[in-house]
Amino acid sequence: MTVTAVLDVVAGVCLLGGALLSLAAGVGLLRFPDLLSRMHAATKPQVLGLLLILAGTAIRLGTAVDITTLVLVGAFQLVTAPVAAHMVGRTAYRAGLFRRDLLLTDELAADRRNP
Amino acid sequence: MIVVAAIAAVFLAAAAGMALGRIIRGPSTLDRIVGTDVLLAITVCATATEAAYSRDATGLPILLGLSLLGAAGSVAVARFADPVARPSPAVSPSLPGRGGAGAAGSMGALSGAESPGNDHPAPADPTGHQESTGRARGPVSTRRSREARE
Repeated sequence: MTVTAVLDVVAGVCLLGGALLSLAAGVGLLRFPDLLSRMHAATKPQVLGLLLILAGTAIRLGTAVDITTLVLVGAFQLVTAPVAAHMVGRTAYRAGLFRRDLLLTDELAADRRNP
Repeated sequence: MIVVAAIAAVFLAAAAGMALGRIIRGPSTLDRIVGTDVLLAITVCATATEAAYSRDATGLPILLGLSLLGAAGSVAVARFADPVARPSPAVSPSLPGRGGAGAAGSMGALSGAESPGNDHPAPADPTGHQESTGRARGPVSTRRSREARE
């Protein structure tokens, strides 16, 4: 087994893992009961799935320019995804778009009663 | 490698279809934003998978642009749908069509936000309170009636 074949197997495993995480996010997006749990499902392909697939792509491509581009893609995704999730979660909490009976604790409730 | 690419393509297509289903079903604007985010992430994953399959780096600059600007739309729509961040009528009194209706709208949004045990998210849809500007009245009312029919 040559080095190229081993690297292809590793890249294939990474690509399949990322695709599987995307599939899990799709299922969770359809079946989870409220917005906050759907956001939990939505982070899977945004961070871990994307990083796995980028790792697989970097192994397959293998040149320095492409690997630099892929690292930049991963870094930008890691920076921007929490910003969007923070804004969506804050708006969901303020608008009441979540099921309070599914929360274990609500640490902002006291602040909302006594601002 | 073609087996891996085919299986990944099937997984990604199924995930994109389910994200589209969440975008269609809603029920609120924020659910659709989350679905759109997931659809964008799946698009990035699919483009990277194609680049890995064909050993062709043509699509990588697309990924760079998508990962940089993908969050901008979500942030913009989430700010737009926020009932607390909406400017009060006292901030901009000179704007036409932003008088008592705007105050009533923000009051309604606040009371909707503070109702405990919100089991059914559809009535507290934050986009339902945005008829304070006259221009947004038409599409908002049609969307509201469509959600009522569902």
